[in-house]
Amino acid sequence: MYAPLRFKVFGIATVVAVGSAFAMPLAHATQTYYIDEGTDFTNGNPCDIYDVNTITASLQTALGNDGWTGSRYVNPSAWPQDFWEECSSSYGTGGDDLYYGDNAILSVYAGHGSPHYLYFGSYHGSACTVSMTDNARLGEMAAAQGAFGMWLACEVIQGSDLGTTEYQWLHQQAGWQNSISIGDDEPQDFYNATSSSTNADAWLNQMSSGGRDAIIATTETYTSGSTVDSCWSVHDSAKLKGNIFNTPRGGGPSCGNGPPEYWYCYEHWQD
Amino acid sequence: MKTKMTFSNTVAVRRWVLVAPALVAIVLASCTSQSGQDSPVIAALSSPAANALGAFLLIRPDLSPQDVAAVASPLTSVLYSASASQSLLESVSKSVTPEGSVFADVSDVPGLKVAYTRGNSTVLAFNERITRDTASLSDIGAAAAQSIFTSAFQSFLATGAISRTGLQIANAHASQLIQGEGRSGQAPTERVKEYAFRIPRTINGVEVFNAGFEASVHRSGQLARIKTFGPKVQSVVAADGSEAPTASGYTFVPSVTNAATDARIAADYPTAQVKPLGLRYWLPEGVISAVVEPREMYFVVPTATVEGHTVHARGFYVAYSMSNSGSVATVWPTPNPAATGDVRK
Repeated sequence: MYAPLRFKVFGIATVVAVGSAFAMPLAHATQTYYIDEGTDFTNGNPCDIYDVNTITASLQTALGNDGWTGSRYVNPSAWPQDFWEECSSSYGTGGDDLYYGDNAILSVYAGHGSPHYLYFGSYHGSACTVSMTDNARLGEMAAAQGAFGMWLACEVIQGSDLGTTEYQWLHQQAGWQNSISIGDDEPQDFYNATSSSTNADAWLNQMSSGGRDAIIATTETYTSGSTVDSCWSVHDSAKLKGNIFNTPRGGGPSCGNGPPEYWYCYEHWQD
Repeated sequence: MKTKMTFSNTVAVRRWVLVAPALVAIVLASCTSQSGQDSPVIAALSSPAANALGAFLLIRPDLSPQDVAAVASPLTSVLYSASASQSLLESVSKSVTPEGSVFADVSDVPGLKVAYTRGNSTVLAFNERITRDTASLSDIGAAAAQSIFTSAFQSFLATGAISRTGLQIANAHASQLIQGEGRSGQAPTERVKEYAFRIPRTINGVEVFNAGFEASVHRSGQLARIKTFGPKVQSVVAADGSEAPTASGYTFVPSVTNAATDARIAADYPTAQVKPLGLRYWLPEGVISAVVEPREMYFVVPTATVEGHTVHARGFYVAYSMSNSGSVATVWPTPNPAATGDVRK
């Protein structure tokens, strides 16, 4: 499973250079984001859990300062259907990711979560949840613009689920495996750190204090003869602010089809 | 029962009255003082009650690029076992974000990254050539990694960048950075990538929450990351290493029992999962400085059931006074259910 040093014998600079060579020509002229955030979870709907602090306002400011464009919808304006696949009602009636959750390079949800689920404070279309397994198909099918999923909620990503229920056609997803608290500006700090650090190092450095089991995962397409090295090469070089691998993966399955085989790789802290 | 320490209540203090300002400076240097914001007047107990606790001034200063470089320099020296980068200050100075944090790529040292985040006054240095080594096969094991960490910690202390006061290697807490990989439909294969060790800052045996020294050792045996973090403590350090509050602080005898705070947290959050953290000095993020009593601290995770799924909410920290059972609990982060965003189109 572990090839000796692989092509990293040439050092990280080579990895970054390779990543850049592939990614930069494909990079969007304008970087795009989509953010939904729930902080009001005591309003009498089925997802009442507990009110939380605001954590994406400063992230949006930092993105805007760097020329990213997008929207940040909060509380009654943030709907679960924003992350539901639009192409077919088999993913849930009223899916709208064509215009929202899958219509941007960086897709963010802040609120509550559980393994492969997101919970919204709003109750829209008789729903307040997103199942990564049943509803979401980010980076594929309709829109298919997503490249990085940031899940600012507890437990959403579990390493053991990446080969099954947590699947998305994104380059990377980041979150936590346990119950955590999140400071108001930590997502902003993470984003800013990706100017000089890889997304992996930035997430692991900025989001792991206080016993938090921060996890960042990468997924890449399996092809005949490929190895998991293709996954690690992206994982070890992608940078949001540095604009490396800020591109949709492309080549994902069409509406209604299951995913082709893929590699996944990840890192997480274990207290 | 609080005792505001004054300048005249101990022989030891009187002795200090006679010293020149230069000696006061030496005293402050021997503490972990960073800013000199506290008065150089010294307080100490003449006959402290056996169970007395101190309230100390904690400071989380905003660091200038020069400050960041000064803290990062010894960190990078230890990380690379070499003299500090010549371009460190320049690299830091040109990498300041609008919010005052720093994320620098230090050009003259291969792989060196330096970060400063204001939230908890964290200065981090890491070697990307090591942290991004997800391929090497060798694994030195936890014991050997801890030896390397111990050497690194001793080397860092030897730089004089920080006082050893309140940093006990015996208190080191171990954790691990795990890497995993797999193919769709299959369970992952995991292995250790880095062995991390954190030494919490303590004051007379009581932890300062989220403050201390931390480093990680890659499984190949090389240092990967090293950082200092958390508020600084203003104190007077005795020869035996014990600390007394400066003039801003005071001592008090706890009047609230741990059993009482346990009962209070259970009553305040009856349906939540509660993890007791113990007695802690805590300067919540966003607070620059404050005189802080140790408080009984908990991590609270509300739970709910939604569509048959058990949901563990984002948690928060709660701390109760040990000197006043009626005082309001400190809670962080602060919920903001009225938050708004863009107008939906």
